[in-house]
Amino acid sequence: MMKPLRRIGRYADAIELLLEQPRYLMLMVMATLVVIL
Amino acid sequence: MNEVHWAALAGYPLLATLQLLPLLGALFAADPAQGSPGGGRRPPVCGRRIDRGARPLRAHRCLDDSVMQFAERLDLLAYHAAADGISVLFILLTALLGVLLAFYGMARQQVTPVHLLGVLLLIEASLMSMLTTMNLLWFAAASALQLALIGYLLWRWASASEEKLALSRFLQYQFFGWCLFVAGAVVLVWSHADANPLGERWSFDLFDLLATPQIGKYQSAAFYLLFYGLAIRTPLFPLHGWLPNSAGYGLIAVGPVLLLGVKVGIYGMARFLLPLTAEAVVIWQPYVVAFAMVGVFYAAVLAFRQANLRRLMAFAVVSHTSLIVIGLFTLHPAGVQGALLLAVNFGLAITVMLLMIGYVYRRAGTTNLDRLGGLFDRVPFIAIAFLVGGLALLGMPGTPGFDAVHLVLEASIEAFGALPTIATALGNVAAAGFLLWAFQRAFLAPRPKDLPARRIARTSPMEYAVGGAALLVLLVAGFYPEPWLHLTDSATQALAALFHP
Repeated sequence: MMKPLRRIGRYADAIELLLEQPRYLMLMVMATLVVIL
Repeated sequence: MNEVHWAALAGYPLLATLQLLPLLGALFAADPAQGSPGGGRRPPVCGRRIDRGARPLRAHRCLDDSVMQFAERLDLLAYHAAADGISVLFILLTALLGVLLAFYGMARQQVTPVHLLGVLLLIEASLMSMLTTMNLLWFAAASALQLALIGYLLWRWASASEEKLALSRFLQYQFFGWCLFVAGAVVLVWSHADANPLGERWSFDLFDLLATPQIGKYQSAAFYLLFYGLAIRTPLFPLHGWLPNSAGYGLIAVGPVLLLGVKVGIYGMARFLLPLTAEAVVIWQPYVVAFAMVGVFYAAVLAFRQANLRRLMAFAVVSHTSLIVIGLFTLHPAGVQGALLLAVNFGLAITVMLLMIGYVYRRAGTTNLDRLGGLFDRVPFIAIAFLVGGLALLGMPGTPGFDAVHLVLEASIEAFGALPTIATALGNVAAAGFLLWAFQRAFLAPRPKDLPARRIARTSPMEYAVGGAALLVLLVAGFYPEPWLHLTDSATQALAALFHP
């Protein structure tokens, strides 16, 4: 149980590192707008 | 949408007073002649004035709360302010937080630099302006002022050497979010002007926009721009990237309380986004709720992995904010009402916890959980206040969160079914784990050797007063929630009626 939880935690950390970079935020917003328009 | 002019309800323009009093206080605080320590004791007086000003709201509770009340207009400046059941709790909370922060500053001996007090009052004025305006541009302008002032606080009084990182992330994200909001407002107003059968007329006023036909073509774009702008402020997963750094390395309590205590992002969604882009809200509701559900768990997992109390709180905020958004986007009367109550409850609970973290930092010089422990013996009141704040975040009976979470989950079952609701409730329970774990490590675990008991000062009378006042409001509102439910009932019903006519 602990092993998969630790793995999930590591993945979450990696995602969080990306989300703390403003360029990924801009990319995400632009991608959304392209999709909906 | 109907409104009642202020003259019919009060002897003076109440909402303008709410905005101008803190401004006057700020001017007074900025006066060099008031730079003496005595001059620093002004804000509580100003806070009391705000509370006094709020009395007529209660006196006229017999009016239908979905009707805009105390309306004020000044066409020359496109000024249009009013209050209803959606804004009234946020206004009361803002007034309360202003008073608490002023006293907190005094307890932490932060009031001596008088201009800190001036900045606090200016932020209070901008928050009041955001919560009372009916104009998208005024909302954006007040938001820009508030963010600039909090950026100044971060720059001037950050508590860690990584303050530049905290400040740059804060400014980058908030500026981008603000631009998105303004772009969304422009798209919305332009489309409305284009679709208006009476001829092209640009107006950012909520009443004018609701009076013209709903736009179809660009509504999704307007929805996403406004939603992203407000979601960055709120903050909502995955747009929360500024918060962990700003909370971890910036100000300990004052800045986060001003940003997170009053959830203007949630208020902006209820006030502007839902009524103005109703068709797009229905189309995109499943995606927003899906992201919010992921956010509840994602933030809970990350909160478990934090070694710093402040970063842990930041992820707790992201997790619980997701629950508010789920409630709001059920588009159900109970869900919307629950979400608004939850936003106010979380604001108050987070405020209590952040203030207590500030007091812990004052004693221990750190908020790192590895270097904390055994504080309960020396400062039991601070420990208990932190615990009650944490339990209020969970929605324990006896706190306003209990009724609010109940309403949100009830609406969620009706809107999305049992399984997603159970998952959301489990996420909320997971929050219990990390908050109790943090409480155990900071207050009950053995005290580290580099934190001797003599270094931990006993709780001061001012700290008792600040924590006690916040706890009192939290518990009274929890044990007697009827007035708050009654205040918000008609307005939330009217908002939900847009989606369930």
